[in-house]
Amino acid sequence: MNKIILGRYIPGKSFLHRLDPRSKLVLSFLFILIIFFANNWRTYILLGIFTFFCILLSKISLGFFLKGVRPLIWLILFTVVLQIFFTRGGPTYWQFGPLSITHFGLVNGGYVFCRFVLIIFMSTLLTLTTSPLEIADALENLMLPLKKFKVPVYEISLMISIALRFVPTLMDETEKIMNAQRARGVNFGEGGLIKQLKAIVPLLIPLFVGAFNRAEDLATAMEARGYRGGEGRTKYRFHAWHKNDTLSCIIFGLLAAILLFLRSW
Amino acid sequence: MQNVIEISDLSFRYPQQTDDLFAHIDLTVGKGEWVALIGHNGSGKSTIARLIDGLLVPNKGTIKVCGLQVNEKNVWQVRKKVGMVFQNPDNQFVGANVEEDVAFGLENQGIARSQMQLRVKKALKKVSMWEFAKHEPANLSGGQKQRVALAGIIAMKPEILILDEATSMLDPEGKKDVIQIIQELNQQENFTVISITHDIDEAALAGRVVVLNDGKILQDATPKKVFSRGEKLLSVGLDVPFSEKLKTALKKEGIQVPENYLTKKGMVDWLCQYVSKK
Amino acid sequence: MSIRFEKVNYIYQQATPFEHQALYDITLTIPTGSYTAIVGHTGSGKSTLLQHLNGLLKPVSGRIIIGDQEITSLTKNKELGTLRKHVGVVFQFPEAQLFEETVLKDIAFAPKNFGSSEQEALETARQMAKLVDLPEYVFNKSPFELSGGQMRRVAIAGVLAMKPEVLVLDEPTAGLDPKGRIEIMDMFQNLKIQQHLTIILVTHQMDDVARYADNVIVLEKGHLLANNFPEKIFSDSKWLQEHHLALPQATRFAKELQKRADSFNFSKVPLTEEELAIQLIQRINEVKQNDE
Repeated sequence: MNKIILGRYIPGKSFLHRLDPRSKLVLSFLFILIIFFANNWRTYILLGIFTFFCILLSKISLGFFLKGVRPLIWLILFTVVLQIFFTRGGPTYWQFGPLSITHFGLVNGGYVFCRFVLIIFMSTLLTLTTSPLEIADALENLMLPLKKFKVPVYEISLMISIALRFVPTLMDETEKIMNAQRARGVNFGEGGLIKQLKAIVPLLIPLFVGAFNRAEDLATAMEARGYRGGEGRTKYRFHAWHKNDTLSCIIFGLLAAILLFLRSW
Repeated sequence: MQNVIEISDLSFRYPQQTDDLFAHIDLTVGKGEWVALIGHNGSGKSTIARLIDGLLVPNKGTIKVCGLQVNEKNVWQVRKKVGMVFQNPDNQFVGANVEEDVAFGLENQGIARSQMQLRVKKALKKVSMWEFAKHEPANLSGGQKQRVALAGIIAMKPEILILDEATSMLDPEGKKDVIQIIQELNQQENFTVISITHDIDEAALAGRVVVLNDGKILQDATPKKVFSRGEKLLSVGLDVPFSEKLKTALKKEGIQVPENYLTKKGMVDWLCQYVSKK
Repeated sequence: MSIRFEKVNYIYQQATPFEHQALYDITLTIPTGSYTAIVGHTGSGKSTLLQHLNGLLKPVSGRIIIGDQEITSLTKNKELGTLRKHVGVVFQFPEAQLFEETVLKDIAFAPKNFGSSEQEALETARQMAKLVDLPEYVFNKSPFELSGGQMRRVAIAGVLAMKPEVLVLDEPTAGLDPKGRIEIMDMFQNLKIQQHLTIILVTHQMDDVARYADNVIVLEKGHLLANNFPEKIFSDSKWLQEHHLALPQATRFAKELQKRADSFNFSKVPLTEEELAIQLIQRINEVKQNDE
């Protein structure tokens, strides 16, 4: 579980950490979009430099980003190899039946590789510098127009917020129950498939029972504190749009403009 | 003294049960009082607390909180007057971090954000948790979480504080901290306190102890009076203060002990006197 | 079955940024047949130590010898099966582990895991249910329909069903009412005498330590602070205060009495109200004799 980097948050106070989650979310999305507009090595170098610059700004060591690529490396290599073997055009260096290695193939393979790495780096950057809660907030904010269509945006957002808050509690609980059942002779993660599936029952049932009890307690506590739905509620958590957010948008606009210029150059 | 809680002829039964949990209960609590509600598990103590807050509906009888009858129409008004802290510190922490949890009740009231910030800060300072404002619940001890729960109530400025075994899952230090805050709230800010507890030393802090057993109020008197009937408390499954235990042990060894309840200090005094008299 | 820790160290999430050492060079012995109490504040390493007792955690360095089995960082999980059968652990709020359809089936879960047949396991379950004073009419009910106190008993029976030689109890009375607390603690005391168990009790309740334990282990921030008889531990009230540990009520009362009147000099630290009463009467009689 500790090996997965994508989706993890590392608290900090860097420029990127302090950006409004809304601007981070939108800009990361737009960045991934413009990656697909890159069509020559100049544009890729531009995007590469920009990404590297962002990583420096986050003050998080490069190692975390490289680790983020690791679980996906086989998928990336597979796609790259497909690109290399099946793209035709330019001088041919090697051929065997339908497979060939051409100049275009190599170049395209390189581009696909760069594209993958850039996308992974940028989304890792988003989750490393933005807590899940902030991302949920940003989503809520961006979904606000949906309220007109009777989508219960506030309730959904509170649900997500509570779910995130209870993740560590439930992880703790899982560990406790696993320990208790191990002490009663269960071996988790050992034996054949049937045996492993059987071992899950004494874990899942107490976990569900516990979660339901918690939910009931929590509902009572919330009601006792005057919760009666999203209508008329104010919000304590607040994200202010700062100068830095405007600045980031301008920088991104410039980046996109340069990219479009380099595309046809 | 003005009454903030008036319960009359209250009966309650859970839907799936055939017998009343309790019947024909009368109880009044005056403003600024501290009442300890004791009784074995399943005696209905927590149920009474939930009825007062309108979280459950009685089968019979009426409850008035600060003059308001607890019913569907008034329930949200009543909940503004009553703050509750429950047993499990984890299961009442709604916010993503400490300050947001304290703000939860205020958000429900639709209070403006600038006002919320002031109240949250003040409440957290009151329970000495302001420096933890940004901490997530996973990094707090049980005692700290209960202090945050108290801050959430302080911020709402209710009249009545109900503690439903709020200290029973805490370690001795957490317990001490929470009780100290409750004492301050009761003495300095004139909060009315109803504490449901098994901890006899906590009950001894109250001005009044109400013993609940078999669906009835067995006794409703000062701690001194209630504790003087130590054997009776033991017989309904409750604890007695240490000085009572010692008295029982001395009596067994054939020593003539005073009938009335003695605090620890009183017991020391009595022993010193007893020895010098001989 | 005696238990020996030799220079045991434990580190959580070793070699990550979240690394955190929970036990430092713990060396101690828990004698066979003893009633050992482990005390210390939250975060002192009590629960980490506890999880070493049946191999849920393995030391990062050092070794643990339980009976004739040695556990080091290299011990394989497969070798821990018999150990887990010999050392039963009742965790805090153990009712959270219940999952079967009926009370008896749940109690029979552990014996079945350790190789008993369905029939044998259910027979054991029946015996254990009686041992923990569960009324017969609940045997075939769902454990989730019972009261909190009864659920606790089912969970305890489920651990006893392994017929362990060592019984580890982590705050076994937390959340129970006073009557339930006394009943459960007395039940463990009886079990210890009848079945010659070694009991290890993790607790904050100094009165329970004073009443039941004959060996006390004090932990602080992962270090072993003391390992001694309760009379010794509770005789040094200054030392206890320095480490923010409470005295048992009887001992505290005796201290206060002593402060008030020199004539109350206790030759032996009283640990329970009964001991205190007996010593007080001796004092009173002595004073009486002197006066005559």
